This record gives sequence, C-alpha cells and structure tokens, in this order.
Amino acid sequence: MGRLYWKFFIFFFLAQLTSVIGVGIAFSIQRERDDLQRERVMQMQATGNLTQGNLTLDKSQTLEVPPRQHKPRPWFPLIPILVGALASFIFAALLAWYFSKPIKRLHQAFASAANGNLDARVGVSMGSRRDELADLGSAFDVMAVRLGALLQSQTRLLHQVSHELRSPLARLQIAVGLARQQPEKLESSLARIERESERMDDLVGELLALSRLESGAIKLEKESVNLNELLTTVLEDARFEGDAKQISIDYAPQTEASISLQGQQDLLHRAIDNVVRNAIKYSASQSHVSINTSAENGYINITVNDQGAGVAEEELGLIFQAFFRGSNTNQADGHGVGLAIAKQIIEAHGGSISAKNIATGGLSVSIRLSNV
Amino acid sequence: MQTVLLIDDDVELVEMLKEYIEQENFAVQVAYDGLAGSQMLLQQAFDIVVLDVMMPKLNGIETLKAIRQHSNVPVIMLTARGDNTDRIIGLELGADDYVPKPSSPRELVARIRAILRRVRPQENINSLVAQITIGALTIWPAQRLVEWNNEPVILTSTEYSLLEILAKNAGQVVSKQDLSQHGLGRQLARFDRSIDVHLSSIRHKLGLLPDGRHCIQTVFRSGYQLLKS
Repeated sequence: MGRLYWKFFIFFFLAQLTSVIGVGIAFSIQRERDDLQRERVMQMQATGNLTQGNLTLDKSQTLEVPPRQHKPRPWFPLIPILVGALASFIFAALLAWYFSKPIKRLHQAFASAANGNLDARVGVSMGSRRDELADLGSAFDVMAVRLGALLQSQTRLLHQVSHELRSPLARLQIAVGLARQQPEKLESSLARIERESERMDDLVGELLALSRLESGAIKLEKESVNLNELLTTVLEDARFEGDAKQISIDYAPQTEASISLQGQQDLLHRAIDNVVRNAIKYSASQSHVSINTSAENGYINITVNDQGAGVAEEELGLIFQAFFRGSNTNQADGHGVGLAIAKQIIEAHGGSISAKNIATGGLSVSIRLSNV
Repeated sequence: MQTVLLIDDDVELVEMLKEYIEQENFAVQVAYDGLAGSQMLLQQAFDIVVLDVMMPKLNGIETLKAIRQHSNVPVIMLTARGDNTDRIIGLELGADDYVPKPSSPRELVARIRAILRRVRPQENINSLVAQITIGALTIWPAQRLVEWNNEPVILTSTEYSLLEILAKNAGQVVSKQDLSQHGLGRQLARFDRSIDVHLSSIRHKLGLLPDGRHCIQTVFRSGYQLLKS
C-alpha cells in the first residue's frame, strides 16, 4: 500500500475516532445528567411520602430511604468507544482503499506510458465506478489511444520517408557504377545523377512543406483571391503537362459574377495544382480531365474529375495520407506527398477535401472552401 | 552466357542495373513485379535471380516463397540497409544471399559471381571426389545431391555448399569465417547471422542422429562441426 493509502487511512481513522469519542463522551455526560435528575425526583418523591407518612403512619415506623446505589458509572464509556474505534478502523481502511486504488492504478498507467508503453489502460480496472476518478481514468485511456496513433503515424511516416529517399539513392549508386564501368557514357550517367539528385531535392522540399503545414507553423496571409484567375493559372501549367500525354483539360469559367474567396494565393494554387496534376498522372493518355466550380450557401466547390482507374473504395480515405499509393495503380512518378499537402492547405483554410469514384470510371476529387 | 532475372518494381533502377550487369557479360531479363517474375521462372530457366524485397502487390518475401515451391535457383535478395528482419526471413526461406540497397552495383555483381562460381564448380575437381558418406548422410559433389537415410534432401545451392564444406571436414570444427569465405564467397561481416540462419535451415532438413542429436553441432565461439558418427 502506498503512502497515499496510509494518509487517507490515518485521516479517516482519526476523524472517525475523534467523532466516536466525542459522541461517546457527550452521550455519557448526558446520561449522567439524566441519572442525577431522576435521582433528585425520586428523592423529592420519597421526602413527600415521608411527610405524608408522618401524618398517617406510626412514628415508630421509619421509612428506609434506599441508599443511592453508587455504582461507579464510568465517566469514559470504554466499551462503546472501543467498538466504535474498531468499526471506524475497518471503515477507514476500506475508504482509503477505495480512494487510493484508482489513483495507484493511474500512477502505474502513467509510469508505463512514461516508459514508452502506451498500451496500458485504466478504464477496465475502474469497473462500474462512476465518478471523477473513473472519468480521469477514461480520459487517460483516450489520451493513450490518441498518442499511440499519433506516434505510430509518425513512425510510419519516418519509415516511408527513409524508403522514399532510398529509391533515388539506389539509382544514384547505380548511375555512379555505370559511369565507372563505361567512362565513354559519362555524359548520360551524369545526366541521370543530376536528375536523381534533383528528385531528392524536390522530395525533401515537399516533405518540409508538408511538415510545416502539419505543425501549423505556416501563418496564412489571407487576401482576396479570384477563383477564375487562380484556376486559369493552374491550368496553364497543367495543360503543358497534359499535352505530353494528350490529355485535354476542360474548364469553363463561370460567366456570372466572378467568385472570390479569402486565402493565401500561392498555397491555394499549390493545393489545386497538386490535385489536377494527380488527376493527369493517373489518367490514361488521350483522356479528359474536367474541372467544375460552383458556389452555394457561402461555400465554393471545386471538383476535379479524371477518367483513370479510380481508387478502391476502402482506400478512398487513405489517398490523402502522405506516401499512400493505391493498390490498383502502377508505379508512377512522384513522391506520394502531393495530395497530403493539398489536404493540409485546404484544411488550413477551413475547407475540406474528399474523393469518390465516378460510376462511369475515374476519380472525382472535391474541394469545398468557405466563401467568406 | 549466364542468365540473370531481375525482379524489382523501380523501372528506372531496373533499366540501369540491367545495363550494368549486361556489361559484365550476363544475359539479363527483367520483371517489374513478383508475380510476373515467378511466372517467368516457370517458363524459363535462369542461373540466378536478383529479387527486391520492397515491392507492391507480391512483395519479395512472398515471391521468394512462390519461387521456392518449384525451383532451387540461387536467389539474391535486395534488402533495405539496416533491416535485419527481412534479411533473416529471406535467408530462412531459402535465399542464398542478400545485398543491401542502396549499394554499389559492383557489390551486387561480385555476389552474383560468387554464388555462380559455387553452383558450377570446376568439373575436374568434382570428378576426383566421387561421393562422401558420413553416417546417414551421403553427398555427391558432382551432381550436388544430398541424401539422408537414402531419402533425397532438397537444399538451396548455398545450403548445399555449406554442407559440403562441413562434410569434407567431418569431425573437425569449421569456423564461421571459413564457412562464409568458402560457402558464401565473401568475408563474414560483423553481426552477420547469415551462416547461422543457413545452418539452422540445413539442420531442419536433415534428420536427427539415433541418439537424438543434430548431426551439425554449434561449437560456441568457434564455428560448426559435422559429427562423424
């Protein structure tokens, strides 16, 4: 038993003992007083009888006044107090256990969490308890689950980053090997080496951007952004990429009063650009990518549809995670960070991004942003 | 010309590696996923397979299992540097050796050569040793065949090489360094458990001695010994 238990125990026990003794003494004093009073009444009655008897009875007859039985009534009622003390001893022990046990469990759970084991749970040991301590226990459990998930996702991310960095490194190593093996082809090997190092640089840059967005370190510099202008600049770049695969990108700017929203222009550009490039990347050549915008109830919707293979239903929620690659995609160029960055940017603007499969084939990514 | 099958999902890497290995006088064919690779092995014989562990769909370990169901072709695994679990699982499943990725392609070609040298030793040397018999174990070095109690034992080429070294030195302790040098064709690296994994796998494939012991004994801190009785 811990120190807390003994503290609780001593406090409870002393408190109860004091009250038992106090009540006992109070009772015994009260009883003493009652006895005295009763005696006095009896004496008074006896003397009354005596005067009456004097009148009626023989003088020779003497009334024997019963001598006051002086059974020494203890001033301190020992037996009841001892019983009370024993009862309070047991009760204090139980009460102290009742309070200190969950705290002890919590302490153990915290200690094991501090040692890196986030699997410890307190809720089960609380049983059917319903009070603040049980709430504390379940709050700990919730915290442990969240922390565990967070830690796991960080570890996973680190693992994927190292793997993702290894691929260009492996290619670099081989390119260097080729340059050594065939000095006459040095130029093409050097071009490869250059390309791989640029790729690694891109990846590191994207990772930094993602981690900055995730940690909330980027402070948005909001300004009024015209949606049509934004999409037009995105499309200029994307068309260039789409042309290589003969993919046409359809976008009809809204003719009505141009929609504008509050946000940081370069970030929004990057988010939409990532979504559009992703659509192009996973589209077969000679297909269409279409972009639609609509405004309703203070929200702006931007939808990007492609005619690619789509994503397996159960993976739809995962494609916005960094480094996730759908199971029905082939090896594609890129790092798998683009959609994760887009999601972070949109969410930093208070919007949401979601994906669904189109019945006729292809993926539809919707961005929903507040108009104000 | 000896043939190499490269199984890796990284298209660009495979392209460069193919070029590199071809320059070293091998015929190279490639497969971009495990399924295609194990099917190519069914249709065509290769001298050696280079298999990447990290692949989508069928990963390297699963591919190795599929290959080992019907073939004893030597397999070199490309494993992530520092990932020991993959290595040990790979070796346990019958991979012959591994090369960390990324590493220099020169290293990979050296390992390929080392394994192929073992698998096809010089004929004239083998013809001198007709057969080795130690207790229930019989080895025919020329055919690289092993029998235990007149039952054939299926070993991978690395396992066979290690067993042959132990059999030629039956009753003596062979150090891990020597086993690595002559069996795997390379220096024993620090913390390298390959030899232990291969030998534990051989032990499982061979039966027990009449007294219940394994015929291959670990000699603590010095190496391994094939019991003579």
